[in-house]
This record gives sequence, structure tokens and C-alpha cells, in this order.
Amino acid sequence: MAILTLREALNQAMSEEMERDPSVFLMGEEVAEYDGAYKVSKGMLAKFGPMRVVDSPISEAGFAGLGVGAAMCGLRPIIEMMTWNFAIQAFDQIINHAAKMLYMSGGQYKVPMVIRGPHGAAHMLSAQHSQCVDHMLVNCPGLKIISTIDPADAKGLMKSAIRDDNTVLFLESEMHYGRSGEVPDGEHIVPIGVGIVKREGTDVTLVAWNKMVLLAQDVAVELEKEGISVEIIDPRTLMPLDEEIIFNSVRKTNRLVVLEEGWGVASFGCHIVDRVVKECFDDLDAPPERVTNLFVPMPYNERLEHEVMPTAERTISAIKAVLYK
Amino acid sequence: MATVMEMPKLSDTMAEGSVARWLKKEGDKVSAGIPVIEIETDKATMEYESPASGVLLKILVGDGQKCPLQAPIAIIGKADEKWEEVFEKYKAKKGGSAASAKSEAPKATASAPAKAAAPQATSVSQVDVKASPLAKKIAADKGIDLKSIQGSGPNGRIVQRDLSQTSSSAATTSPAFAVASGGVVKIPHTNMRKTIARRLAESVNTAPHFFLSISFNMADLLNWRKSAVAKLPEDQKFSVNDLVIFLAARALKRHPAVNSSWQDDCVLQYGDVHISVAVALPNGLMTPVVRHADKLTVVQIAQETKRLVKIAKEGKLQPNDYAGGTFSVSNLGMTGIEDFTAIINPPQAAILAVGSTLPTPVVLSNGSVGVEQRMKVTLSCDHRVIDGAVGAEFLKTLKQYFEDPATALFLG
Repeated sequence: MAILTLREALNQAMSEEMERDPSVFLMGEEVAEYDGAYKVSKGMLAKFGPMRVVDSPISEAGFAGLGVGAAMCGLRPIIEMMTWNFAIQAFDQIINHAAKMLYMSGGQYKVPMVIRGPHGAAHMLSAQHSQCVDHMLVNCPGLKIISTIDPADAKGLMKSAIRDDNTVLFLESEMHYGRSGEVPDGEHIVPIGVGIVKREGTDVTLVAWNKMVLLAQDVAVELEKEGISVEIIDPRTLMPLDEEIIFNSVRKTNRLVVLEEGWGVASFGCHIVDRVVKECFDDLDAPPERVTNLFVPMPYNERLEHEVMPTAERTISAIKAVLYK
Repeated sequence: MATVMEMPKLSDTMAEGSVARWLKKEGDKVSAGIPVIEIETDKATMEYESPASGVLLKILVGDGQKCPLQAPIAIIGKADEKWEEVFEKYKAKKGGSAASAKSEAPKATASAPAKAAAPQATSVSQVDVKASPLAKKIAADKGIDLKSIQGSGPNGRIVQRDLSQTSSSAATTSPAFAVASGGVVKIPHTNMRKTIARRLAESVNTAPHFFLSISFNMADLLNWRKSAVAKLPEDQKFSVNDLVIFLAARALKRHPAVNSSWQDDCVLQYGDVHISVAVALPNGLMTPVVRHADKLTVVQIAQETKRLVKIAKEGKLQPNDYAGGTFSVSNLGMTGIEDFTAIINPPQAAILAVGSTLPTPVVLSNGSVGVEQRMKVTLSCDHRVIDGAVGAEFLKTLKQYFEDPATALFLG
């Protein structure tokens, strides 16, 4: 077990899979000569050479399309998007081609591709570069979606994603590439579609993923001082979603709060609440609460940015609301 | 606002009701709380009070007719109201015709105070109560009537904590209910327990109580009783408690101010003396009434008390057996309690709490210390009705009767 940063864990997962399977390759803007905009691919060009670590032109739609074609022809591309904000350029390739090729070809063409990169707000990148895209993509059938910042989970899920025969979107976080954690060496696999109880509790279920898990943990520590026991569930994979881990927790605590980065209108949190209300109706003692971005474009101003994103204060209010406190 | 009177559930086993007779005719004035009908149940025929004041507009179920519980039996309203319109609205609200009332589970209404919470009614009657889904599930599982619960959530929503004080989240905020290692047993309220809770809380919260204590030298009375009882056959023997009722009734006759009741606009002073006797039961207590106790001999009081205690313990007291008392006696003497204070049994104005007769050291009139058989009593008074001096005068008379019983018989 080594202590690795998130970027090192992702690098390790990709490198191990490229060593294991010669059909795997990495492509994206500045992933090769520059070692990646956020140094996730550091040293990979030197190790695997320019045939397998490929600098692409600045054209997301173009190299995403290259990825789709390569995958249809039997390769296993990993496409790095410098951020998911830029990947919006490539949504036609992702939604109309990668996601639907298997279906449209009557099962003839698989698209075993991973598209990965940081998403959500980082720090003062303003409206166009601070977007949370998970709810836009999870709405499209045919895609698997992973969202995590935990180094060990990132390694284990990246390996699963590369080996998966479907297109898997992998959502990371720019601010947390340098955050480290214990990562098992070698063959560490985390299956897609399996959530994790990040913290056991008895009073309320708090579902959070990606960097919101960290906020959830801070809030749980804070509320423990008031005698409120928060159970944190990190689904890790949004599609397919590990519903049972959420249902089981809600059946125990009788209360649900979803903490998500991203805007609250028709968000993934809405979907979780919908499923819980349907499957755990008789277990609920209060209407579920959601904590989301405020519904405005992300401000550049640092204080406003902080206010627009989910805060500890709003999360605590939501938890107290479902506890009738 | 007109009221539709429904067939009340007057006993736990009552399945349908039969109108023995109406005490009022259509067009007669009726008053809330005043009997308006005699209803025959599976057990007895009982008078039943009007749920509202106004005019008896329409009798829907006539003398001798039967109907299901909660079926409409009469409409009470203002003289100028059209009973047909009221009845249409009532039927619309009930979601069906009067005939369908039979299939409906009983619904609790303010006009049916005697209604018991039938277990099968629980799940149905929850419908128009605001409660969380979890609270409804818990209530259904445990047979709790949500109508009896005060919700603490938004807009009075009943939530988990209102039903289970021992839940994990509640335990963190109310240490008094922390689950002990020995476990907690949840005993659902019986109707008797709910009635005791409601009436006594109402008494303490509305009647300003004060307490007067006094002790009696029981030597002469006990001696007299011993010799009297020795000559009586078994079915005529009387107890000290019977003497308490006998003497208190006669003292009340002399002090009618104590034999009274506070009303909103007046004090009612009763000419009759009906004494409520507190009887402990395994699951609560009842206060059957010895009527006209001031006119009964002590032997008659003993026999009447025995009869009432017996049917109370069998759970067969009828409303007539426990309604209408004007003063209460609560005796814990047989349990060794020396003295205690009792809560007034509303709407009465006073209750006498009687302790044990015990050998007690006293300073005698010659200044030396001696031992006497003494009994302490405490009178709880509703200060709205009885002032301190009035209560004290009553106790002074009572003391005279206890210590010189002949005065009660000849001077009372």
C-alpha cells in the first residue's frame, strides 16, 4: 500500500493497463510532451512512446471522434479532456456516437473508450470553466459514468473503466489532483456500479460524490459535536447507480440529504430523491433535502463563488431540516 | 354551523346502536352536554348528551330504530337552517350516502367522547392526519391512533419522534429517555389512562389548589366502631372508610360551600351530597359515586361502597355509577400512607385525602406527653370556590364529628 496523489493513482492505473493490454492508448491535449495539463500523464510518453501517448490538436470534437473510431476498430482509447468544460465541444461525439454506436449497429460495434478529465468548479475560473456536467451526461442512455476524487477508488475504477467494453466517462477534480491517500499496489479493481459507505451513522443519510464527499465529511464531524450522527454514502459511480446502498442507509436513518455540486434543476440529486421516495416511501420521516449550486452561472468573484457552491452552512441546515431540529 | 350527531360508540363491544328514545322532539332546543337521547347498547341503556347547542332540526333515526356506529342520527343547528342542506354537505364530506356509513370505520369526532380507539380504525383514520410516511407506518404497526398524537413537525406534521421517545435521534436530545440496559417497555394508553391524564392535568392546570391538613384523635370512634361492628352480621359490617364517607357527607351538609363546583359564570352549590370514592384498579382508578351519602346510614354506605367497588373491579361501572359526584374521598390509609395531598376531581371543588390511623405522641392538655390513635386528613380545595377559612371551618366540623361522633348523629 503506497501513499499516492490522485494524479499519481490515475497515472498508475493507466500505466498498468497499458502495460497489460497493448490496445490501450492515451490521447488528448498536451498529454505527451507536456506530461498533461495537470501532470496526470507524467512520464507516460517516455515510458510508452508517441504511438501510445498522443498529443492531439486543440479540437475536442475531433479527437473524441478519433477515439470513437479507434474503439470501433478494436483499440481501447483513453481520451483526456483538459476539462469537461471543453468536452462540451465533443458532446455530439459522446452522446450521438459513443453512447449509441452499439445500439445503432445492432450490437456490431462496441466503443470501449474512456473519456476522462476534471470537472466542476475549481477556483475562480468563472462561468464557462466551472461547470458540473454529470447531470447532463447521466441523462443519456448508453454511457457509464464514474465520478470520484479518492485516489484508491480512482485507481480501481479507472482500471475497471479501461477494461469495460462500453464508453465510460470519468469525472475527476482539478483541485484534488494533489490530494493523496493510501492506494493498493498492483491489481486493485473497484467494480463499476458499487457505492461505498464513507462514514457510518444513524441519524441521517448524506449522499455525496466527487469533491462533495470532503464537504460531507467536514459537516459530519461538525454535527457529531451536536450529537447528530451522519452516514455518508459515496455512490462513486453515477451510472449505473448503486441504489441499494442508498436505500439500505435510508431504511436505517429514515432521512435523506443529497449534497451535489452542480445545479439543482433536474439534477442527479433529483434522480436519487425520486428513487428513494419511490422505494423507501414508508421509511421516510421527512421530505428529502438537496444541497446544490445556486442556480446562476458560476461567478468569478471568489466570495461569490464560495456562496454559489454548496456550503457547510447550507448542508447543516438541510440535515437539521430533515431531523426537524 | 350545524352539527350532524352520529351514533356514538358507548362500549368497547358495541357493534351497532339502537335508539331507545329521544328525550327531545324535532324543533326542541338542545344544549351541549345535556342529555338528548337514550341509546341502547349491547350492555345497557344510556343517556347521551347533545354534541352541540341549538335546535334539534331533524331526527334521522327514530325511537326503537337501529343503525351502525357513526351513522348520522340527528341534525342540530340554528332554527332557520335547512337540515337537508346540512345533511347533503355532511354526506359529501363523508364521501358517500348515509347507508354507506356501515362500511366506514369509526372516525373520531369531537361529538363522540366515549368513542374507543378501535384497532382496526387506526389505518383508516390516519388518512386525514398529517404524518410522515414513517410515522404512519409505525402507528399502523403499533396500533397507535395518530389522532391522539400532537405532531411536532412543520404544520403539525406527526413525525417519528412524536411516536417513539426511544428512537436513536430522540435519545440524543432527551437523556431522560435514554434506553437503559434493562430495556424499555412501551405500554399503550388505555382509554382510562387517557381520561385520567386529561382530567387530572386539566384540574391541576385550571383549579388553583390549596391544602389544609388536620389530624383527628380516633380513640372514641374506633372504640365505638369495634363494639358496633361486633354486634352486626357480616353483610352489615362497616369500615373506617365508610365512617369517613358518612361523617364527611354530614359535614358537607353543614358546609355547602365545600359541596360546590366552579362554572364559568357562577358557582354551583349542590343541595345533594354525592360522594365520589376513589377506587384503585389494576390499570388505573375509578371514582364511583355513593349518592345521597348524607341520608344513608353507615351500614347502607358500607353496602353501597362494596357494591360499587365490586362492579368497578369487574369493569362494569356504567356512566351513571361514576357521574355526578359533588365531593371526593381518597383513602390510602390501608396502605400505611400517613398523609398525602390529592388532586381535585373536576368539576368538584374539594377532595379529602385520608391517611393511616397511627399511634402518635401528642402533648396532652395537662402538658405531659402521651400517645393517641390519630388519623391525618388533607383537604385539597379549589380556591376559586373555597377560601381558606371556609375549608378550615369544614375541617373543624369534621374533627368534631370524628372525635365526638354523637354530635354528627344528633346535631348534624
